Amino acid sequence: MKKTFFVVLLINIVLIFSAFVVGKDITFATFIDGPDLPVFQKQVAAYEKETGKDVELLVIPYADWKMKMIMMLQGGTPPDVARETDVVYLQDYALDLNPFIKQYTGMEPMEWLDTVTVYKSWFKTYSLEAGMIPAIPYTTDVFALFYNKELFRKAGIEVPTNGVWTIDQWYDAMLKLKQSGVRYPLVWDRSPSRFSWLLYTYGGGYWDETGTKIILDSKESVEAMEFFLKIHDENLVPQAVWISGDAPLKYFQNGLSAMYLSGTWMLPTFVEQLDFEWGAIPMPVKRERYTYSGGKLIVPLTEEGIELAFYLTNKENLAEISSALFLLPDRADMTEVTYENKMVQEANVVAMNDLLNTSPAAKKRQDFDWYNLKTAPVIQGNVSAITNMVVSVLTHEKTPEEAMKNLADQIRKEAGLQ
Amino acid sequence: MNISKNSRAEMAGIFFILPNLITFTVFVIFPAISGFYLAFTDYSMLRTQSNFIGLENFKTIFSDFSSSSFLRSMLRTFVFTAIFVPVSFFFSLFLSVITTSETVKGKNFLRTLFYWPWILSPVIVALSWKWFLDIDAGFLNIMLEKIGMQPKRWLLEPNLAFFWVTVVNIWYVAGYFMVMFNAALTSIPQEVYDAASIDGANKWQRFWSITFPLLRPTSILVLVLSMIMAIRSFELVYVFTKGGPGNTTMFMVQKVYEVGFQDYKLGLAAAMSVVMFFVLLGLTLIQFRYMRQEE
Amino acid sequence: MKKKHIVILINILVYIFALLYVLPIIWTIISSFRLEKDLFAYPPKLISEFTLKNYAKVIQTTDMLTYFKNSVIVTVSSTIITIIISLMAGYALAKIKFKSKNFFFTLFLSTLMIPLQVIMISIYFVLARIGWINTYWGLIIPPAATPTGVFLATQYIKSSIPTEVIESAKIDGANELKIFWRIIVPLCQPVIAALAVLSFTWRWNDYIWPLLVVSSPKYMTVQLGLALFSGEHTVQWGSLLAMTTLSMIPVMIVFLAFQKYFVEGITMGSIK
Repeated sequence: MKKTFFVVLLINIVLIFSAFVVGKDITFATFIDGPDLPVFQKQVAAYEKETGKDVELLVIPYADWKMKMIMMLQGGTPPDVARETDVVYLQDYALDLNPFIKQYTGMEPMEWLDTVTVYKSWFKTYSLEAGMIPAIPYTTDVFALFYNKELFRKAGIEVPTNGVWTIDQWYDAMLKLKQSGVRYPLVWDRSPSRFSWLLYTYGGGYWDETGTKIILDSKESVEAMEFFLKIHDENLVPQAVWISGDAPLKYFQNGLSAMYLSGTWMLPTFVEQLDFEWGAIPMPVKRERYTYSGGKLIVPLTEEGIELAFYLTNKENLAEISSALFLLPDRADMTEVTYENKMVQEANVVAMNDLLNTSPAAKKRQDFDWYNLKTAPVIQGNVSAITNMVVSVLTHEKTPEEAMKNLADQIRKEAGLQ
Repeated sequence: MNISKNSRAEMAGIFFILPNLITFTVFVIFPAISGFYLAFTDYSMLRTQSNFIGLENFKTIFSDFSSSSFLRSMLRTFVFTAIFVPVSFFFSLFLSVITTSETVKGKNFLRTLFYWPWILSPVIVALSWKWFLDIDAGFLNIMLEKIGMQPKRWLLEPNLAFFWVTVVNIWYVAGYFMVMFNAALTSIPQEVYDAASIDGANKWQRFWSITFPLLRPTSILVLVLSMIMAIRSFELVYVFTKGGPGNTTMFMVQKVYEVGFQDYKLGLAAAMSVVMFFVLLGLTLIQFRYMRQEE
Repeated sequence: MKKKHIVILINILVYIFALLYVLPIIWTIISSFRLEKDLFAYPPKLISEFTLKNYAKVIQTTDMLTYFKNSVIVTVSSTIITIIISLMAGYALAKIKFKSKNFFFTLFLSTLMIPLQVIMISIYFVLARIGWINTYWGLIIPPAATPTGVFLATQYIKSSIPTEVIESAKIDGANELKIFWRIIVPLCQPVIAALAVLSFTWRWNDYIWPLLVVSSPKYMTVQLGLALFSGEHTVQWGSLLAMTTLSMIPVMIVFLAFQKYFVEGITMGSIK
């Protein structure tokens, strides 16, 4: 046994030293969100060739993204560049890109800011308020209500082509689908922002339009929650998703569900995995028409990363990543986007239309909730509380009024509003 | 003469524990202490400055008894532990007896089977069981329907979810403790058994009056380890139920994790960790004292 | 005759129990050989087309070989270190009479009570300062110090190695180091085997620690690779199952290889 022991030890030492890599110059951190890795690898390699610098691509599992970023930031070794979904929590670490914009893009800062915030108007507000430009808008995705065309045909339901459904019409469609044999007419992503969509379209939300009052327990918000509870209680939506965290895609993928409330980031996965005809329905409306566009930003966190950040967001590279992931590039001069894949193109058109027609009032509230420097932190710091609140209602532990009032009071307290 | 003997022993003792000691100090104790001070601040990733707030965090913790609170998650963890420790102890002992018994054939094969769950990562265990128990497409419900019974909403009802969380955790660790018991059982010399059977004791009596007491050190180890495991359990449960339905399977570590990494309230999370540490320390010391008394 | 029947009956019951016991795992393995859409078909099908598509996808589209290589390096190296230092510590805590013994014992115990999640940020800080991020050192060395290993060794040495052996060696003039290598270690075969198996399993399945240390695909281990198949709303089941099945194999091999050393009736003959 001793002999094998030493042989194994020797082999190990050899393997370790054979794999020693010299430290890389620049690190670029990202998580996998579709077929993006090959595109990044290609663009990074081109950058290395052009500049002679070495770039290390760091890949972090999505579920642990925030945790790893927090660790790296706190530990003093942030990635030089990161592809992020959120900048609010990075406000202490982000750099001001203002002095570099002319140099890398040839545009004046204000002109550039207008160009890149074509879908991310909140970013413009945020930057102006903060007095600095913390990141480069990258790609945008939009909420979308996908549906299985074949199941709809079977149930004899027509989707609205020139208008939108009301929430009630949407509910009726669900009943019809259930009658025609669909197990769960709708499946809904387990995410606070996907839930919040419902609040906004009912006229509710968290902060009000002035950013001074909390309206989470208003009549409208409670009504929205009651609807959410109703469709779960009647088994029109699989309870396992929100209550125990079951992954939603599988329901839509195999025909257990006819509709899937998610977003355009799912498009590459759909193209790869769905084997039925699918499309998108305009988001249903209650009192206000609303859809949410989120997306990614490229955030340089050190001086060394700034060049790479601008490189990744130049027109050419932006076009490449956008078409690979079926996302919208964040540039006003690149809004004419068409995709070859027919279903993707259709879905995209629907989502864009929703975006153009979103009510300004709802948008204002959304911005206060998730993006405003002063009012967003208290909502962002309660994300798990929001999910808990919804789950407590769905399990009948609390009534909608109770649950929402509790959380509203807690948020008021934290925001110093009492 | 006496003095130098003692100090020689001291030096030898320290020498032998040095590698472990250094590593623990650098990678566990030092980080724990440096994170300790955070518990007294309101540090959050979303704010630009953090302030010293004394015992505020602890006040917050101890004044919240809502179902998603830290205190309730602690209570749940205790209940879980109280069930997990004895059941996993006796169950793994049972497995060990089977896999070291003379009557049973093919013991190596059986040992491998029982150890198998432990080889899987907690994530895989959780996903496999979730799927096994899936309401619509899980093996269990399919079989139930085939024999004409109602499929059950296994993970959507609080009591059922808690039940399964406990069962799956025990299933997962039983092989691990079985290995420990095996190591101990196989080191009991044959003479001991021979002497006993000469005296006319049957198998059952032999086991409880001779074998079991000889397993004492391992038993203590298993009990202490399983208690610590139960209190620290997170990864498996989180992937399995995410703490649901509602909060009914949310244990302490999950609460700390969510507060720190989803709400960014690192100061509050640190305070919760401090509480958890002392609870665990207290429980373990109690357990040790109890064991020592028995001797 | 009666006895023979009872033996057969007991064996049958035990085997049925054992097979039911591992049913969820078998289900996982079988499922890795089915198409993803068949897995989620409704109405559900228990049997469907056999396919190797998932395995092909894993091998072609992921850096699986690199992950496996890294896992092997880290796991084996860490296990070797664990065995050595756990035995050392176990010997000290079990047999050497030194004053601060109880203090250190409690200290080691207390490190078990601090869950990793709770001190992660501070650990990362330390790792970053000593330059062990994205290195094998960071992956191998810190986890090698395991309190459980120390306890296992301590308890075993305490109960299975009689003090007389050590005393008689001391009288013969042996120092502690000699006693350790010549007497203790050879007698520790069962616990070495147990430590080997356990440590291999722990290191192979470590997820949070590698996540902390490594973000570069060059150093990723199998568990990290597996995590990349799970996004927020999708789980690439087919690939996940295939990679899981593959990742089970090394640990099974190690377990089977060390089975021999769990021999029954190891006598403590060295007394006589």
